[in-house]
Amino acid sequence: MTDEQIMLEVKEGNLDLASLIYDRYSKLIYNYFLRLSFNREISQDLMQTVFFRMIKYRRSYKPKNNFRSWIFRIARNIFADHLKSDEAARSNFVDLEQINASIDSVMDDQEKAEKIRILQTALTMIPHGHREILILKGYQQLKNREIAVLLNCSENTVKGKVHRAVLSLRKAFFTLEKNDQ
Amino acid sequence: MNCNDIVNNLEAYLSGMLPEETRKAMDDHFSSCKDCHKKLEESLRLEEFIAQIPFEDPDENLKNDFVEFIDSERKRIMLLGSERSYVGWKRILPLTVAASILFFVLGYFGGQLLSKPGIEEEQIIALQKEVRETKNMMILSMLKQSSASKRIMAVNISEELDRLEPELREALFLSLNGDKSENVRLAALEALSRYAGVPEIREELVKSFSLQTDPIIQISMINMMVNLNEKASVPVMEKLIADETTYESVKNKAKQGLKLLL
Repeated sequence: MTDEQIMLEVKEGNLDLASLIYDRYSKLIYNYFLRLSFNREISQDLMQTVFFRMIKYRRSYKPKNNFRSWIFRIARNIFADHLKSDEAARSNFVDLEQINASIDSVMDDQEKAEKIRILQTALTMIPHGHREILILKGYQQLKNREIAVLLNCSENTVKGKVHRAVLSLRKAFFTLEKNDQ
Repeated sequence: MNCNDIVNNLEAYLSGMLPEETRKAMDDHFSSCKDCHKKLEESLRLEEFIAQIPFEDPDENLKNDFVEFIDSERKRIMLLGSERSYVGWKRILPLTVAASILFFVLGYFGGQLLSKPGIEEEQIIALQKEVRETKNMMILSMLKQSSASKRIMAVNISEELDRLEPELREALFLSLNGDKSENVRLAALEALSRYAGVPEIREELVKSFSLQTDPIIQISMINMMVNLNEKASVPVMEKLIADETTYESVKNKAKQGLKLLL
């Protein structure tokens, strides 16, 4: 069954099928929040909120909606709310060191692991909007078309946003790399 | 131009901010230095590199929370009477039927026993006492079963008793206030409501009413309190109405209830 078919069933009241969507998306959504906030606890909370909201607002799902865009829109709204809270200013990026440290255990290539550590740190140094589009595009591998639906803009605007975000990421990346040497 | 210069200028190079001369010098270096060329290539594909950030697993227990949430949502739908999803009731029905049959049989043999001439009255009383004690024991042990259906059966059996032993009463209240299955809590409430005429039980029921958070139980309790004309439940209902986390349907029911009680 496609995500869309499952979600339509859920919408009709077949709530048990929602756990299939949970299995397919919980890890993606959790890591979406994790690379935006670099806070594990908050990411888990927000991830749960996404699925609770998916159930609560299931009736707003339309057959023509691309499911991935739809659920990431929920996630995006939830993160926007989080950013407005006092908690965000206090607690974002608190787990960066731990998340960076854990990379060694999953990667054999030390040189590559080091690069990813720098890349993740660079992600915390750029504006939220840039970080978000890079995570959606580069990390979650959403298509430009899907991001356009999600951000409610044209595909060309998405391309422009990605380009600017890459420039700012590159700048942060090089600054860190230079300091590292 | 050496490799260090390249590192320092790479970002400016990529964003096209370098004067023609410097850019050309860098191009020359790239064509002769393998390391720097590799670096240039990688930098051009920095966004692709993001894809290689490993994914972490969320806590597995979170899934249980989600499954519980789905359960509670399903019950809410049932309560509101909209959408399809009556699975819960379909599952209990056969059990209630089974329990009824069991007690029909018990009642039949019990009745036969009583109508038989020649048995001393004392013996009958002793026998009744024994049956009651056995039933009590059976109910208590069934209430401790891990399967919700067994616990519901236990509660239903307790309704067949002519009086509630303190031990069993306590067990039923424990089920009403703390059983993890809503269906068991509901069955316990029904069983206990039969003894609502007993002042201590009624007092205990009001106390339990204030502890309930499940909308179905809350509504059943409001109905019961109104039927019993129990004024002591008024503050609990007022609190329910004031609490913003209370379901709308429960609030409405409580408002209706208050009108009838006051």
